[in-house]
Amino acid sequence: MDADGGNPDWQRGVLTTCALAVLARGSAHGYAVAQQLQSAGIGPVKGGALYPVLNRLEQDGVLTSAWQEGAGGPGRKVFTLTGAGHARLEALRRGWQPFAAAVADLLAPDTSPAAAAAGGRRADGSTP
Amino acid sequence: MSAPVQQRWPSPEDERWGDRLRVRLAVEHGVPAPVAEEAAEEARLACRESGRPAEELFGPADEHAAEVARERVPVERRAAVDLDGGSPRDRWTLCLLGAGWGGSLGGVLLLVTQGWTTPVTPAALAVLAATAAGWTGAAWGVLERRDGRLERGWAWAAAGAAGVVAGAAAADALRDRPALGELPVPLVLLASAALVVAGLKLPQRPAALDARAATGDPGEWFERLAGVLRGRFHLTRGDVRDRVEEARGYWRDSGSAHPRDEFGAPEVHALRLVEGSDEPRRRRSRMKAWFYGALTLYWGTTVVDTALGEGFGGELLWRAAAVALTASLLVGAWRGSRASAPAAGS
Repeated sequence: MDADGGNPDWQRGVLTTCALAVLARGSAHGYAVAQQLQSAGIGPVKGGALYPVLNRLEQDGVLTSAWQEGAGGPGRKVFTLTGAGHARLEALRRGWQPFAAAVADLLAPDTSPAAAAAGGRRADGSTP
Repeated sequence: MSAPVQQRWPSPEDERWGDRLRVRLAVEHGVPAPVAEEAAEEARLACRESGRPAEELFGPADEHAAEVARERVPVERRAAVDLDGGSPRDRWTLCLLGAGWGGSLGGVLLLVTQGWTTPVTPAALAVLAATAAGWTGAAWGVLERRDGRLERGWAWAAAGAAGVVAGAAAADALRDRPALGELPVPLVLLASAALVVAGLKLPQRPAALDARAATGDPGEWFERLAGVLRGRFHLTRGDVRDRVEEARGYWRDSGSAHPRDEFGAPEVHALRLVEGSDEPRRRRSRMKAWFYGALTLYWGTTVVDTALGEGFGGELLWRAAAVALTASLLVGAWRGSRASAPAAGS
């Protein structure tokens, strides 16, 4: 488990959903998306993980992008959620609660008598 | 002897699916044989245990092959090779195999047209040298380009073209010179077979990422990213500029010392950007279609020319066969440019 925001596998799994959620709050460039994800507690997100996701969403028509002139430095590519993006995020929001509840159920310690009995025995059948 | 029941696929359809999976993994994704075997074995076991067909459990074999390559081959290894699993380290293999197959084809043609021996003229030697130079320049140029070294790719192609022109000029100048001797054609066939065997046996070092681009200055990193996106994944110049600039902007914003701290090796970042998209393969097929189209046009013109000049005969026949061959390759490439295929970026 990563101290900065969770298991890397979880982060990879929810990165698309979370990036959409961040962009639903307003258009942003890549680094701003990464910063908002970090301050939300999702963990530090490297550009190498974020840009493939943003580009794929753009190819899917979920995001659009436009270049903004940088002050003295290189320009920034600003991403904006499209109508299709809002629809996809809405679908993800609807599906999230049942999914999270199912995972939470699965992760909750099993307190049934059968589990207690199984937990009291080692794999070789002996008791601790 | 037939395989034990436990090691058989439940149905012929499943077996065909498994065979396709192995072929796709080996040929298209360059997955090592033991990994491909393991993936096929797991699928076979899952089919037996669940009683359901492989296609239903894992989807189409091509898509599952892409998935297996993504999951089981380290990204550094996948990022070190082109879409066909090749890298400049294969250049000598390609040379030996090209010379061997070309020599075999030439030997058979000589056997049919000249008999057991053929005169060796200075002009024929010049044509041979021109062909070797053209093949080497084209093959090495393509390998370098697909490795993201665009300038080196063009340099090899130009060197090959120069070799062809020089060889053709020499052949023209030497065409009246008498033969130097007679060469037994079976010797040509034997030497060609030896070259093919040598090419297949040549030990290949595994492809590796470019260490200099990852550790050199940031400019080199971005240059390498652009080269790989353009040469290996066939992105348009505009798309390449876009990807490089967005990475550059992110890197500046992040304050990291080097782009590799944010993106890893340039080849790996390039692969991740295109992974899951079938556009690179489509664009590659489109380029092949143009190439085969040009060849078909050339051979088609020679067929018409031969038919008008010499009438029907053996000459016309083999030229027509060349048209049929290049046209079939053109159709295959054109279909590939329109098909949606899974890409693992391997």
